[in-house]
Amino acid sequence: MNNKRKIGKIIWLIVLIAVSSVFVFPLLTTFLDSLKTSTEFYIQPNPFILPGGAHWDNFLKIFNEMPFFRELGYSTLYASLSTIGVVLSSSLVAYGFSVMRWPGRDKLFFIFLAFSTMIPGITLTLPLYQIFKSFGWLNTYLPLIVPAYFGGGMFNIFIFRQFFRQIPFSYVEAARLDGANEFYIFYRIILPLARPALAVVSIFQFFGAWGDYMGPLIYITNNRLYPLSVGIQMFESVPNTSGVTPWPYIMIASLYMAIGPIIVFAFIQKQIIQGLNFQGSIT
Amino acid sequence: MRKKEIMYGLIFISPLLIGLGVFTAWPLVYGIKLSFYVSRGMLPPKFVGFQNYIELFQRGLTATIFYNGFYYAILAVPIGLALGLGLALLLNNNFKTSGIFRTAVYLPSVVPTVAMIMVFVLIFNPTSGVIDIITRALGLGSPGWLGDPNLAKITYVIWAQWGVGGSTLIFLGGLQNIPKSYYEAAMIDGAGPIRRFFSITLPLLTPSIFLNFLFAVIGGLQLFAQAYIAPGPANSTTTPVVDIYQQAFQFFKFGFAAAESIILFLLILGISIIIWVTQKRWVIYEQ
Repeated sequence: MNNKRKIGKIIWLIVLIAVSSVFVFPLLTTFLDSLKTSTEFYIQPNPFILPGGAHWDNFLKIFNEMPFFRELGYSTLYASLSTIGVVLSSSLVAYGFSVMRWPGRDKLFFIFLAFSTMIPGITLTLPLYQIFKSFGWLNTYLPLIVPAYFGGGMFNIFIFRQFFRQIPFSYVEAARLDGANEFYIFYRIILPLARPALAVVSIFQFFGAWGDYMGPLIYITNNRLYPLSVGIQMFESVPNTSGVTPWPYIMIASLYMAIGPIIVFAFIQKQIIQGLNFQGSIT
Repeated sequence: MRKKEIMYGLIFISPLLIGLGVFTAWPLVYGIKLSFYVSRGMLPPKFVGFQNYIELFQRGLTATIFYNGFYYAILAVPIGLALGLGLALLLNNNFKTSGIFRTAVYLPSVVPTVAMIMVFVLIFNPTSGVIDIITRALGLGSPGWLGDPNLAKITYVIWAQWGVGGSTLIFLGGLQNIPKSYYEAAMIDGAGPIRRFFSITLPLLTPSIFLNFLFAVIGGLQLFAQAYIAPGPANSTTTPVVDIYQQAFQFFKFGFAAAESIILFLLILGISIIIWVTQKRWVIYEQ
């Protein structure tokens, strides 16, 4: 029996090493390609052969090739300001949909959730573009940030609500008997107990905005205001003076853009799994 | 207390009510209105009735575009769910090494879409990509990937599988919520691993499967970045959202684009309703 277990574990290890290699492979080759010069890359596309050795200085040279830090700044601005809005707003609304009891509450939540997931983003984006244009908000990040403060997205509310519902109601009742008002209960009792949900919502929102491509593509047309996501793609599609696509630099920019989410997710994956609680009825 | 609770409930959800009104309901109504108008540059838009819709349905390209959207969703979603579930089962244990593997599997999902597309464009280059080196070494020839109109959509389906880490995590969350005692009881009754999977794991995971499925279908029908940044030849990969975007922001046919986006909305609405209604037959909620 013990032997059988051991063999089982070895097979499991082999399968998972194979599977993981497939998942890591694209980024690994990207990393290797980024160590070449553009010319070397064209002569020798095989990422595992480095004809001129590793050009580590590429990782610094990139900063002369594209306005990296400016775009990084805009990506960070968009991601942080929208995350603050989403977390504040969606947790507050989720409290109203879980701890507070009022008639029709769960039905209304269900209708909102169902409806908002079924409307394609683009269907709202076209009219919103016109609306924001009339506000004079084009070429600002306002269209991408302001809506986050009004509800924060039904899906995020859903994640908070699932979590709040597991918190024993006696905590709330005890606090009410002590004369605490609802905002105090929300902020001091419920929210601290919902840390996994807070982590999930803020991290998903932050890196969602960080990688958002379509939003900035539509509202930001001035190339001096691009975030990294649009900047990297423009870097690829607009030929430089030598007429050669600078693939190694594009790969470095992509790696720089990916490094933050990779590190964060590696450390908090356990919390994410706890926070994503989809079991149990929605209504 | 009761009245106070209703009032507080309303206060707490008021940001959402404002948000849904201003950023969802109003644009939706405005979008429907737009779809009955044509924009004329500097002149005010002109009401044309159903002309945009008629034009949309008479255009030969429309069928191709919606076919492309469905083709992608129908292939990518079930494959992705099966792979995600399979990986979650492999990773659902307390081995120390599982954490490393989980991180590896989830890695491509956390890479921003544009960065990942750049990587895929590079490695799936039909002449110089590393995938080409591998397929030739394996004797599979040299597929044209995005350069081949018959393969371009399949290429996106393949790319999408690097992103199953997200659904793997959702399934892992679902698996960890299944009480251990169920398995212990089943083992005492002599149920083998396959029986345990089909009688305990799979039924109790149906809420996760359902939500994953619903979101994946809705998301799949709205494929944009791949098809916009790295399109295949002719219109072999043009998806509805890409076409809507181009009609509106490149050809400035806002009314036409609005009409197309309303059709997309109605399609997604219809499909979602079908999925919601049929879920009662196969999704099991623990009470």
